[in-house]
This record gives sequence, C-alpha cells and structure tokens, in this order.
Amino acid sequence: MTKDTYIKSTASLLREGKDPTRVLGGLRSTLARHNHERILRQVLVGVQRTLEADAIQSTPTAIFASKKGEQKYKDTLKKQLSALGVTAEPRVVFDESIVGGYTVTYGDMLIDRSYKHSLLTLYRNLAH
Amino acid sequence: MSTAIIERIKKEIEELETDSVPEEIGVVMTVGDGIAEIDGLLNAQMMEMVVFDCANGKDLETSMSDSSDLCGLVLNLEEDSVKVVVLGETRQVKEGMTVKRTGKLLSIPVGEDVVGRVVNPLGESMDGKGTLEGDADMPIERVAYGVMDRASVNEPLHTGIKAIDSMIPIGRGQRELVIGDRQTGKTTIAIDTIINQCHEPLERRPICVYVAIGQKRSKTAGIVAKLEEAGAMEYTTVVATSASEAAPLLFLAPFAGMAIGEYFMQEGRDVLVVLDDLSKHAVAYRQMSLLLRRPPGREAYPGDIFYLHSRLLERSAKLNDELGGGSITALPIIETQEGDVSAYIPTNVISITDGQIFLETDLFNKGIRPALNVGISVSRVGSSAQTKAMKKVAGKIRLKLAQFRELEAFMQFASDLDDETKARIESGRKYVEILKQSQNAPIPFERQVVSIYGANGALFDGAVAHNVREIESSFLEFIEREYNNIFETIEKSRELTDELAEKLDGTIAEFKQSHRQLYEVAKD
Repeated sequence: MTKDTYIKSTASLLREGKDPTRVLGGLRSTLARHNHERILRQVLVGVQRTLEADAIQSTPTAIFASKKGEQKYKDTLKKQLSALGVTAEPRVVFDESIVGGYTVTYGDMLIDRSYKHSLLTLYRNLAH
Repeated sequence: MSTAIIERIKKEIEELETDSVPEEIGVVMTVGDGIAEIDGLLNAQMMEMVVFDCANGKDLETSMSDSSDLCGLVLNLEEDSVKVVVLGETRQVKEGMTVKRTGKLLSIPVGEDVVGRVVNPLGESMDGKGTLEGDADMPIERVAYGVMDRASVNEPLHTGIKAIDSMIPIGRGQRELVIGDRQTGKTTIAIDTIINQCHEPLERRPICVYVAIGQKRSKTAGIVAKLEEAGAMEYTTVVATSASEAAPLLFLAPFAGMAIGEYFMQEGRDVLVVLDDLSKHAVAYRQMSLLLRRPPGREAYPGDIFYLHSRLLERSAKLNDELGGGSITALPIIETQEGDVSAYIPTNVISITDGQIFLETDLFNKGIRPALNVGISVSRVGSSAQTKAMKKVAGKIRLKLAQFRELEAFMQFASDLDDETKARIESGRKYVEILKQSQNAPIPFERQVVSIYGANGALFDGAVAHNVREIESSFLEFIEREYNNIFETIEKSRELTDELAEKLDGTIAEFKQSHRQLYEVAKD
C-alpha cells in the first residue's frame, strides 16, 4: 500500500459522504496494521489537498484586475458561465497582474479574456 | 510610425477579437528530470503539444521577457493525469502551474527558407541568421507512405566514394546503414556524400538534411564549416542537438529531420537525410522512457525501441510518379562497441535497413581509408541503383578483392608462390590502393568509372601497389587536360559504350607512354 493509495481511497470514501470519524478511524487502524503510522500526517495533508482541489474545481473562479473590472465584466461573465451550463456563483479573486479583463476557470476549463494574455500574444506575434 | 506597421497591429487586434472559446487546462502536480505530471487534460492526445502558463502571477513586463511560451509534449496518458516532457528549461515549471492544451500535434516549420540553415528540432534558428518563416508546418510524427504509393529504387545516389559507388551502391529512396566503432570514419562518409551532391546538376541535386543527435557542439560546428567551405550548405539543412541538451530534444531530432525531408519529397524532389547517430538517439529514448516509468526491457531499453527506429526509417521512400516521384534516402549511423554488431540496437537497425556499410578499426589503423569491410558490407538494392557505366566496370572488383583476401591469409605461411598467385596478390593490392580515398574529397562518378576502368585494364600494369594512387591522379588530370569530353560524355549518357572504351584504351596507352617515369620510379 503506497501513500497515494491511502490518500485516494480515504478521499474517495469522504466524497461518497461516509462518516468522517469512521473513515479517519479506519485509516488509522489500517496504517497501524501495516506498520505505516509514520506517514499518517502526509496522508492527511494529501487528503486535505485533494478535497480542497475538488472544492475549487466544482466552483467557478473568476479573476479580475480590480473591483472596477468586476463591475465592468460582471454581466459578460454571467452570460458566458450560463452558456457553459454553470449556475453556481463564481468565487472572485483580484489579481493586478492580469492588467484588465478577466479569466474564469471551472473544473478543467479556462476562459482567458485578460488584457495580459491578449497583449502578450500580440507582442509575441509582432516581435517574431 | 509607418503605415505598414499600423496596418499590421490592426490586423493582429482583429485576430484577437475572437469568441471566448473555453480552453482545457490541467495543473502541474510534480515536475522533475524534465518530466511534468499534469492533473487533468483528460482529452489530451498522444504527442500533443501543451503550453505551460509561465506568465501566471508575473506582471506583463516580466512575462514579455520570455520570447516564447514553454511547451511540452504529451507522452504518457494515464487514468487521471498525463505525463509531459518539457521542451525547454524545466526550472520554469512549478507545482500548481496551469497547463493548456493546444489541440495540435508537434510540428516543425518547413520550406525553402530552411535550406542552408542550422535549426533545432522545434524549428528554431541556431545559426543567428534570423527567425525561420516556413512555408508550411509538417508534423514531426507521420505515418509512412503505403506500399502502393511507392516505386522501386532505380536511381543512384552517388556518394563520391569509389568503394561504395562501385560495390555497395546506394539508390535514391534506400536506407543504408553506416555502422562501425568510434573514430572509424562514419560521419566522414556521410559528409562526403553530402559534399558530392554539388557535382550533380541542379535539377537532380538532392536536398540534404544532416541530423546531429547528441553530438559535441564543436563537432557540429566543424561539420557546418566544412559544408560551407565546400559550398554544400546551399542545399543542406542541419538539425542540431548537442550532448548537453535535454533527452526529449535528442528524441525529436531525427523525426524533425525526416519531417523536413518529407516536405521536399512531396514536392517531387530527392532528399538525403543523415541521422548521426541512432545509438545516441536510442540512449536518449531510454532515458525518457525510464523517467516516464515505462517498463524497461532488454538492456533497460523500453519495449518499443524497435518501433521507434522502424517507424522513423520507414518514412524514407521512393514515391511513384503519381505522387511526384520524390524520394528520401536515409543514411542512419550506428556506433558499435568493440566491433560488436550483434548487440541489441545494431541488430535492430540492421534488420530495418536495406543494407549496411561496415567500417572496421583494424582496417582504419592499417591505413585503408575509408575503412570499409567490403566482404560483409552489402546493399540490398544492388546494381539497380548503378549507372550502366559503373555496372560495366565494377563487376570484377568485388570478386578480385575476395580472391585477394583469401590469398592474403595464405601468403603469410607459404614461402614459395607460383607466378599466377603472385600476380593475383599484386592485383588485389592495387585494387585496395585504388579504393583508398582522402577525407572530404569525393570523386564524381564519371571519374570513378574511368579510374576503375583503368584498374581493370592495363593502367596499373607494371606499376607497384604503393604508387597506384599517384598514377591514378596523374591519369585523371591527363584525361581532364587532353580528353575532357570523355568525362562529359560519361556524365551525360551515364554509359560506357564500346567506342568510348576503345578510346579509353588508347588514352591509357598514350598516358603510359608519356608518363613512363611514374612506372620506372616506382620499380626503383
């Protein structure tokens, strides 16, 4: 049994909605039986990361350069998300480095309408 | 600011006003030793290009300092993740970095601009002469042409090396392996073949592609300099990957060379692709496969090592007239260890190619250069790839050399030989001398025909073996000076008619009369 196997199986049980106390108790006893107690912390950290990634994946994340950008593109973003079949409210993050526009990620899809991406593409096309 | 620049910027902005198409992304989970494991990208294809978002989190100005996006190549498709080889600096890749699919398979820009340049397997210029503007993008990996699309190999590719053109002739569309230990002259044969193409008329001259796989940069620079000096860079492209570059680039190099060749082949032209060398290519592929956790097989090579080389070399072909009649001739090079041609990779490639040229260290050290072992070298295309003129004169050489080799061993023990045996040994020695050739001095085929005709005839009668080369070069100079139409006739007609043969007999007699001192001095 490898660390990854422990992480995957624990995360899978928790996703299914099993009682966390029983799942974690089962994990501890399995680790003890196989003499793997020393990796308990690493497994728990791995499970935490996996579940956090799941949470991020299932919620769309919108990145704007500033609050002003959020106001400007709110409606456009809503239309695009509904076109993708996404009904959940996006989690909003502010990142000045995108200069303007917005990016939105949902699961393994990305829509990049940031000014930074467009300007970088323009610059590279012109420079080369 | 000029109007042209403003128009260009307007055009670029228009192209940016596209619909928001969602892109599929993944996230880097682990990265190390040039391999990145990406979570996601579940729809990625094998050999698809992906782009690492190195600009994420950086401001615009810092991002602009990177001249291009960092790319990777998908090589392992697993249940929840894909493994990607990074085609560039792995240090830029960080855990948690976003990776985007491009939806495109790896391709290289090709076109007339590529000829005369030194490029890397990604099509980037390495010679400082500016960015390459290709006419088209050719995929690096491509399925070889089918059986019905091919024609038989019937046109010679002259190497300019007498021993090869007479006894191991190579045809356009053939794969001929050059195999031998280190420092036996393998690369020299390839370079001489490239240089010799400048003797071909422009309409028949093949485009040459020299692929340096894991070679020292000094060696590659030396080769480029030699080709430039000989005027061969005008029709040659060099795909260069040095020993210090990452294994994925070494893996891609021969495929890139073939892709460049295929572009010209599709246009109906002939191409020569030299792959120097496939031993290093196999080692790079082994390194990549082990890092990708693919199961190791014999000598730790992956199970598909044969397929790696077979699919590469099968792309070399002679196309039928319907498809333009173009061809790719491949000269793969393999380096053996201590002459062991029964090792894994050499036997693999021997079974794939249409013949092999064996070079031996012993012969090299004895001064027989090129150090070809004619006895075990073979061309499976054979005389179909020879001009009529060469066929006529070259028939006897192999037999005479075979007889000489038998007697050579015998004569060490026998103290008293009969005259006939002595004559055969002396004749064999002269043929061995005649087949020696200087480095980077390929000889056009018409001169080879005349030289071998002279050897078969009376040219070297009365001469001793160690003076044969001097007599040969004097004879060729004599013909060029006095009877240059002989060379022109053979070059145009590619035949040695009886009339021409008679004329040659006359010139040999005249030469021997006027250059008696060469024969007399030798006897002294």
